[in-house]
Amino acid sequence: MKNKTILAVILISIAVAVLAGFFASSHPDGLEKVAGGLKFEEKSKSTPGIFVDYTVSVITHPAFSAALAGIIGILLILFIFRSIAFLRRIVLVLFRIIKLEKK
Amino acid sequence: MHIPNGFLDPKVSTGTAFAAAGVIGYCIAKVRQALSSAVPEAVFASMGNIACNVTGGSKKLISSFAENHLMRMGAVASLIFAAQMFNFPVANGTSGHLLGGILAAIAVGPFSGAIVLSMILTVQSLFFADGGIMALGANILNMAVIGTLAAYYIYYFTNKIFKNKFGFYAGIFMAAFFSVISASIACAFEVAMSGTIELSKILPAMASVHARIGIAEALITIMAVEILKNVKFDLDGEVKDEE
Repeated sequence: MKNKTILAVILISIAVAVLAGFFASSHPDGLEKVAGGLKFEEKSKSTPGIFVDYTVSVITHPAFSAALAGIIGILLILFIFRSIAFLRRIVLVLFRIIKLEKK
Repeated sequence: MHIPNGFLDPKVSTGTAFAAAGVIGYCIAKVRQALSSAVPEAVFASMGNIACNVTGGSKKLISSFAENHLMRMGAVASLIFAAQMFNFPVANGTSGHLLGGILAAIAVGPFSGAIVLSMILTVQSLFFADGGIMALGANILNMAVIGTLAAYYIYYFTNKIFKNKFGFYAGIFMAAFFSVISASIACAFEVAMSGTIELSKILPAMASVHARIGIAEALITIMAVEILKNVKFDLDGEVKDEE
């Protein structure tokens, strides 16, 4: 039951990411709008990134590019949490082995 | 409201980074503690991996409970990451997106929720150029600590006062609204303290824009919680009864 639920949530998030690629508003968000209105926008320095502004540079179609970037992001996050679980398992086993050897 | 590089001076960025690191470290300790102590005895028996033989009856053994909790955190993180991409228009050429702090806190617990949000923010700043790397500490402090951990207690106390469905939904609504407002106010203070702009200008502008985003945030959070309930996602948090 658990795995099905988690899979369902992941599928929903992929659907949301794809929909976001197609339908998300491209207007500036709250902080950007305020920065533009108060004329301090130019102080921002662009950050280097692989998928700048949620686009994959090899795909020119803006919606598909954003959808793909979203899916990559989701997979990246899932990979990070899976790795944490995996590392946790390894560390616990190692600690246990060390303890057994001391005995 | 991801702060880009350049809005904060070095003093503010390092200060917020240390504050954020401290709180998130505390959150990690809390979650680890909850995971290693809240493992039901039945789970101990039902483990079937090789590691089980090594760990034996240790209290801190590899529990499917803990791994399941981590995967729930991952699923919620991916949901919020996707939702944060979905900018919706709020007013005259402005858009907003979900912050998701309250959603995370309700789905996996306040401490895990803060970790989920800071993980999302880190991925966004490292790979998607959304929020500067120098401003990561400030972003985590605003959205993961204030917008998730602190705002969760609005939900918690509303639930304690009205012990019914009304309390549940009113709590979500108020907590989600105030999570966005307080995060935007904190953001305004940080940018003003860096000398980028006067506080008297940025504070009302940020608060008024984010009041609208906050209402949308509240409605989306309630909708998302309903969806999570429909897919039978446990809204348990780290432990059953969070103090």
